[in-house]
Amino acid sequence: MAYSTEDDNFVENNIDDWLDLIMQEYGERLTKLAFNYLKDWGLAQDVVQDVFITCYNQYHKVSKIVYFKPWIFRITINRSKDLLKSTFIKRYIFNNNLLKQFSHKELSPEMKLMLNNEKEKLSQTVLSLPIKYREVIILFYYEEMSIAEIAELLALNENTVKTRLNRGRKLVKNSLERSELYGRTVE
Amino acid sequence: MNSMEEQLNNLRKAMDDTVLKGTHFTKEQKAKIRKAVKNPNRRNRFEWFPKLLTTVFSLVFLIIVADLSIGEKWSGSIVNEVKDKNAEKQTQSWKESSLFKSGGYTMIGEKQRLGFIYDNNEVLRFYPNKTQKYMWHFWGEDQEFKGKLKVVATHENDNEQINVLEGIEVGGPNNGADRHTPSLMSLPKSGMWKLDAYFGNELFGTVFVRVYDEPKEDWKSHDEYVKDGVTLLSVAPDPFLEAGKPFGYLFHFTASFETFKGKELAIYAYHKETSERITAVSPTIMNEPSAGYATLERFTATFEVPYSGLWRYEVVLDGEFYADVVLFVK
Repeated sequence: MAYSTEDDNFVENNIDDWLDLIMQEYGERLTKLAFNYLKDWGLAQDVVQDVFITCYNQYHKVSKIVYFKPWIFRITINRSKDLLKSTFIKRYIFNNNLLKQFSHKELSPEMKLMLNNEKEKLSQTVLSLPIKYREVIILFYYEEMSIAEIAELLALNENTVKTRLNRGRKLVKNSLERSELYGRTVE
Repeated sequence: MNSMEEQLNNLRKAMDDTVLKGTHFTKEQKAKIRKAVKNPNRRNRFEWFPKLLTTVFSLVFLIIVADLSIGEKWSGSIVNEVKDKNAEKQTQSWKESSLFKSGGYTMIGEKQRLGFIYDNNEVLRFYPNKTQKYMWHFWGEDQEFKGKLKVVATHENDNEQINVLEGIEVGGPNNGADRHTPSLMSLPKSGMWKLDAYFGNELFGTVFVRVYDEPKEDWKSHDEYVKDGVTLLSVAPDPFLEAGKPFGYLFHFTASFETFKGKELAIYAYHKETSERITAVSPTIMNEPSAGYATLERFTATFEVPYSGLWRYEVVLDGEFYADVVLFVK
């Protein structure tokens, strides 16, 4: 990785260049990754900003990390999860995700129309999964990581990753079939 | 529907086209980060937020705990203080003595100690300088009744003492009491009075009574108030007037509006039987005459009286009696 070279010529203003580079390369990806956890663009941006500030402050260590991508992914994921926990009560009370789940069978006409789009339907279904299945599905299918990479990133056993992936697939399938069935009975 | 795996293999595209559509890491975002890293003093929200929460919660917890324990102590001492104050008051309490029954009579005073026949009706009540007959009763051992009976009365507001009874030989047992005597008593002014009963020089007991203001009310039903030959007020109540429901009253004042202008007018209703007073019209400053009239010719009010019987409606102007009418409420 270009930024992991042990180049001693790195001088102070190179940090800024380096920051620009990693923001260029990872900014968008990390924001989306964080969004997949938080389902809120504002919070996702906050997390990513925090991650980059950490990178900057730890430049001397970080710039020498060989596997930079897993590292920056990991801290993004960890920050996102921390935030999820800390805002749990807030979300529990104010966010209607929970309500959405309960009222899943009674989607509004607008929602139905929106979900008629297959892609949208799939995306929403994945986002509505519980976090532990959602993250492996996202990392495997969206980030296109291998089981081994995911296991390392999430500090999990590979078999655990596989199990969660299978369970996640089933959940997606059931959920999609249910909405399909529902759509038919209504129409 | 495509197979599950196929769909999921296209998840990236599906999401990028829908929920993750657009640019979410903008130039502004980059600029913000560049600025933030240059300003190390600015602590970012994720570091202080949990700490702040923890601090706030622990503070609140401490305050609540401290408050509870201190509050208990304080309220404890306050209760004690109040008790102390009550105890002080008790020594010269100006609350009318309670009524009790003995030998088929209602008496006022201290049960199994002393009292006289009295039941707080209008006849037996004390009114200033109205002398009436009261039958005293005493309970006690023979040696307590040595000497003659003397009753000293003290008014609540000044310490003026008068002997209402003096040099009385009391009679034997009566109505369940060990001693009794009839007496003629009167008290000179209204308010609470303390009656200390002595046998010889020994205080035997105390009775507190209220002297009522002379009943000036004329409880004859009248719907007009006439003063010096001039009708100041007449009232036209709802013809179906009855107790327990709000009814409308039309008060007709004859005096010019100058009489009322800028003054506080209130109407109170007194029930004859219970002497209960209710506020029919709470004090209101009169700024304008009745709509369409020169004065308060049509002053309307709607209120409810709780009991049936005779009610006296007293009109008070700036705290002073102005006029009254008496109506019978079904």
